[in-house]
Amino acid sequence: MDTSTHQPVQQSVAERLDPHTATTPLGDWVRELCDAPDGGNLLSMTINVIIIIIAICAFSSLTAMVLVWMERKLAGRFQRRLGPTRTGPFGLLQTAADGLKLFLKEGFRPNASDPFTYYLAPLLPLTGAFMVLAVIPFGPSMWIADPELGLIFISAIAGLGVLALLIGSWGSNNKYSLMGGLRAGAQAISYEVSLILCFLLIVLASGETNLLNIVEGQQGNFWNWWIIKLPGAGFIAFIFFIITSTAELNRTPFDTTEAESELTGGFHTEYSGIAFSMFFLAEYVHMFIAAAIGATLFLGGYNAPFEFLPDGWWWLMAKSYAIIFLYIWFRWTFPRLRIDQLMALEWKFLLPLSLINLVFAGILIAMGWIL
Amino acid sequence: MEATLTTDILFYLFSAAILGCGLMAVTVKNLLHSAIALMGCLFGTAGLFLLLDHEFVALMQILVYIGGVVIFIIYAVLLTTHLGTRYLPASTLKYISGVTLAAIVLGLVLHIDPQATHTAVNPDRTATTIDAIGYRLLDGSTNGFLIPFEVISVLLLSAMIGAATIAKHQKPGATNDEDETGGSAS
Repeated sequence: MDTSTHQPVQQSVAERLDPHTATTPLGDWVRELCDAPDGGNLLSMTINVIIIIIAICAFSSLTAMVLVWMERKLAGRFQRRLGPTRTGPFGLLQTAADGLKLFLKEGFRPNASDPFTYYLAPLLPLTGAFMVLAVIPFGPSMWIADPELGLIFISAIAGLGVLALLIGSWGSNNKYSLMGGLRAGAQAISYEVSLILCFLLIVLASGETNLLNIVEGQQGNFWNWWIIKLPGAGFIAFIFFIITSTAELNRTPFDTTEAESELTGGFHTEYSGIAFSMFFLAEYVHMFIAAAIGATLFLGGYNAPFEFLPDGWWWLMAKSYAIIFLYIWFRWTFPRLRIDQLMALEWKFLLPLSLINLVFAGILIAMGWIL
Repeated sequence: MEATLTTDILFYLFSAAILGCGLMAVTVKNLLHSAIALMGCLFGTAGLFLLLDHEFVALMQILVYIGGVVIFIIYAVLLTTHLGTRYLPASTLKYISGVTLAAIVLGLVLHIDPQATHTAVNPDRTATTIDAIGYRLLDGSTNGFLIPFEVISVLLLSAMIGAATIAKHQKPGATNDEDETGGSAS
C-alpha cells in the first residue's frame, strides 16, 4: 500500500528538522565537552544516558505529583467542594505532604506472606512505566529511543503491567488481595485485546509502527489528526481507546481490582509505606502514559492544531492533560461496574465492535476515503 | 549489528541470565517462583534476538510468551491452594527422563550445526522489517508462508471456539436467551 498519499501536507513543512536525527542542545553540549562532536564516544554516551535516567525519574515523580494534586482538586470540584487548600498556594504542596507521610510510615510485611514476591511486585509497575516513557516522542527532538516497532513495543510492555498485580496479590497471602489480583488478571487480559485492536487501526491507517513516523504523518492542521482524518472510524476508535485504557489503568468505573467497598483495597491491601507508594506513583505515571499514547496516536502528538503555530512538547502535554481530565471526570462521575458486567462489556460489546470498526477503517483506506 | 566488545558482553550477560533463570525455573520448589524465573529466562532470549537484529521476534517473545503464556501460568497458580506450604517431591524417574531429554536436544543441536560459528551477532544478516514479515506471510509462492499462516489461523479459531464452548455455563432448564445476556441483564 502506498502510504505517501495519506500525507498531503508533508511538503509545506520541508524546512523542518528530520525528527529521527535531530539532537537536543544539552546532548550536543555534552558531546562537545567530551571532544566528540559527531557520533559521540563512550564517555559522552555514558553521561547522556545518566542524564536521560535522571530526567525520566524526575519527570515521573513530578507528573505523579501534579496528577495527584489535579485529581484531588478536580474531585473536590466535581463534588462541590474546594479540594485541598491549606498546604501551599491552591493546595499545591498537598502531594508533597502525602508523599512525606508515606515515606515516614512503617513498611509492614505480614508474617505469612512470601518475601520474594511481596517485595518484587512493587518494583515492576514503575519499571514498565520507565520503559514506555523512553519511546514516547515528546517533541521533534525530544525522545529517548526511536525503535522501528515502537507501537508493538508499547503493547508488549503494557501487557506486563498485570504481572505486578498478580505476583503482589499472591505474595501478600491475603484473600482480599488474591481476589483483587485475580480480577486484575481477568480484566487486563480481556481489555488488552481491544486496546491492541485500536493500535492496529492506527497502524493500518498510517502504515507505520514507528511512533515518530505516526506523529509526522499527522502534520498540518487539526483535521489531519487520525481522529478526524479517518471519517467516523477514527473517532469510534478513540472512544474505544479511552474506554479500554481506563480499564487497563484499573480506574473507576473499572476499578474492580481494588474496589474499596468489597475488597478493602484489593491487591495492595497488605502494602504500606514505601511499597504502597511505589504502586501509587506508578498508577499515576501510567495514567499520563496512556493519555500521551492516545494523544500521539489519535490527536497528532506534538503537532500544533494549526499549521502556523509552532510544534513542540507543549502540545503533547496539553493534549495529554485534556485526556487525563477525561479519566478523572470518569472516575468521579460513573459508579463502579460489577466484574461480570465488566467482562460482558468487553467480550460482547467492545471486541465485536472493534473488529467491525477495523474492517470499516480498512474499507475507508482501501477506497481512499480519507480527509 | 557489528560484533563489538559491547555485544560480546551483552551476549554473555543474556546467556548467563537464560542459563541461571532456566536452572532456577526447574529447581525452585515454589511454583510461582519458577514461573518468575521462567520469565527472566524468556527476557534473556528476547535480548539475544535483539542482538541478532530480530526486533520483531524479540517483541513477540515478550508479548506472546511473557505477556501471554507466563501470565496464564501465574494465573493458574493463583487459583491453586496450599502452594507455599506443601511441595510435591520430584521422583528419580522424572529427574532421569528430564536429563535424558535435555541430552537428546543438545545432541540434535550439535548434530544439525557441528560448525557453529561462536559469535554473538551475525554480521551478514540485515534487520528484518515488519513489512517484509507481512509480505512473506501472505506470499502464496513456494517461498512464502501463506498455507501455514492460514492453517494456524484455523487452528487458533477452533481452539477459541472450543474454549468458549467448554467455558459456557450450561444450567439445567436455562434458556439460551438468558445465557447470552449474562450479567448485564440484571
